[in-house]
Amino acid sequence: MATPLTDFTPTKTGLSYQSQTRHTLVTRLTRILFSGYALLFYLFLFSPIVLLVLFSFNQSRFPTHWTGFTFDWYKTLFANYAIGQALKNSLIVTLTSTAIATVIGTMVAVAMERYRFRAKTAVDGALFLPIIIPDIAMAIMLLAFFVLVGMQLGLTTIIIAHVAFNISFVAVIVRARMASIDPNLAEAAHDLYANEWQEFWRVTFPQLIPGILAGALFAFILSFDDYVISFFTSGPGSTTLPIRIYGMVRRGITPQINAVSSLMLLASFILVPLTLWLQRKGGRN
Amino acid sequence: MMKRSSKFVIVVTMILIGLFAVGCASDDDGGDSDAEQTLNLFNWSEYVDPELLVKFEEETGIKVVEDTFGSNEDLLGKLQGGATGYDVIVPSDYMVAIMIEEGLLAELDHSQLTTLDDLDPAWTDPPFDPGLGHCMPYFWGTTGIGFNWNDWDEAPDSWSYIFDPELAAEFEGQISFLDDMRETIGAALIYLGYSLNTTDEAELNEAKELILAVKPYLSSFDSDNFDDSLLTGETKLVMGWSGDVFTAQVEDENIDYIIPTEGAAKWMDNLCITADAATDPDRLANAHKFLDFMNRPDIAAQNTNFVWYGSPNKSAEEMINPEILSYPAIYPDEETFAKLEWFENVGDSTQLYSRIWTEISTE
Repeated sequence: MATPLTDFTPTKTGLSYQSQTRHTLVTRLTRILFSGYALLFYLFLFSPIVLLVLFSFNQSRFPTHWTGFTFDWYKTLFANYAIGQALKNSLIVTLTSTAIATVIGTMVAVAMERYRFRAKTAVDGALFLPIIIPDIAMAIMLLAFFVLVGMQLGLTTIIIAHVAFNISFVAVIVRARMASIDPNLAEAAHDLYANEWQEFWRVTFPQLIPGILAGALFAFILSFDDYVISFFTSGPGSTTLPIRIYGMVRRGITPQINAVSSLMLLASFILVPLTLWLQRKGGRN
Repeated sequence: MMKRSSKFVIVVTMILIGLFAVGCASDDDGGDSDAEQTLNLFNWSEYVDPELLVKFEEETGIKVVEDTFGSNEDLLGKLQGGATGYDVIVPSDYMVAIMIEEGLLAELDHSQLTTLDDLDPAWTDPPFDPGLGHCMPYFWGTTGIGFNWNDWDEAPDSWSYIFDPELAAEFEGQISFLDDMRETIGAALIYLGYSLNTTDEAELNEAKELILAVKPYLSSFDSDNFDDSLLTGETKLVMGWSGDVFTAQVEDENIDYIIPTEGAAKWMDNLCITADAATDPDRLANAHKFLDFMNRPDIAAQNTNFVWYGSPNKSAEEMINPEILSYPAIYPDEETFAKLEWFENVGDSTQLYSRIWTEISTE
């Protein structure tokens, strides 16, 4: 575009030359300012994370001054039965609730976008409730509900609670994807004698994959680090990792907590690119 | 054709995740079958020697499942909400009083407890639980002053170092008070020679004026990180709980804790049986066994040697690490011990305390 533009722009006057340099100067200045700002922003965002990881290798029990390098905290962490148990509980809760919520959430999204039914607006509104309601209100509600129906609190109740709030997030994300799909494709499939089932699996679902993955990832993260709702719906023997960590923090922050957090970070560093890759793969089709 | 393969990948992953989770979950169900008895302990984090839980299982065949909470208020909220299944919980003194009132605790059957006589008589009739009707004392401690020996030749053994404006001025900006209404007002009351449970408005106003007079010299009101800031040297004198200062001491031996000669507040964490456990005779009996076990002198001693808090068990003392026993900050001499006071429920005066605390915080 640059070359044809110069052809039509009169360059004989100094004024236009000047304005051009001023223009590039402003551009350059803005660029410096913006990149500087972005740099500061990322520094602000990431320096605590870097410090956190760094201090997980610190010999001192206190995360305030550096006394030497050690792997001890990771060793005590792996030897800590309670943390292992909490991690196991967290994984069970997170994986199960993510899987269930992703399936239901996707079904809800498809139904909401594709079909007309009575009370659709009401369902639409209700879908947003778990997103809008404060965690603590939801936690108390669920606890009261479980007690009312006489369910023993434990992993099952945490999973149900997590599914309850995760469905909404998955549905909202998948629905956004669903809305961007050309409905003519589905119609074309039907014209070619595909039944609803075939059309869904061969035409709609593949196009939904990036949305479903994004929704699942979101649900996974929300579920994995949820504290408030988990605490109130947990029962004996179902302490999850965030509950355990919170309890440990209240008794003083040790590098063991840094070590757990670093490992969780590592997990997300693996998980996020994996999802992005899968998404791109799905999106290409 | 990528379409089909990625669809396949996702479906298979979902199924595997589901199977894995179900597998793990059913593992647990298998472990909790009726054949094996379990006791559910709801405790503060790192507040019991894990070896003791194993030992209890070896001796009684009852498996202890431990879960943790972060504050007395969390514990109360959970039980009030109707959470069931917990057998033994560990509330602090004032919370015991609230829980008894709310009907959340079972009454102890003293005939099932063989180790009550091992307790120091000083702990057998606390105001929050007269006659130990509901709880077994577990660990106790005090609220005093944390300091660094680098700054002192003699220990700052008086509240005047942080409440006398002239003395406090020496450490301007390096003193912290607890961000806790009863603790901070209580310490000021003790310094003034009053009871920390006073309901006299004039005495409370005097305490307020005192705190406001030294407020300019404070770095902060801090209940969570005062041990850290003492360690880094950010603060030189802190009002704090004994146990927290000791964790800082592990890191720097120059850090120490002292109970001021004027007296101090004492606190007690207790093993209590939930009212829910009392609905099942087996659970109730097992919980009694657990309380009795934890208070057995050899067990209580081992626990204290692990957690480094004072044990209310008198008979345990001969087995407690001499280093702990001879340390006046955990086991003060009789004279100081006599001046320790419980926080008691001040009833309607709570509002007066709140108002004063608001005035202190906002002025």
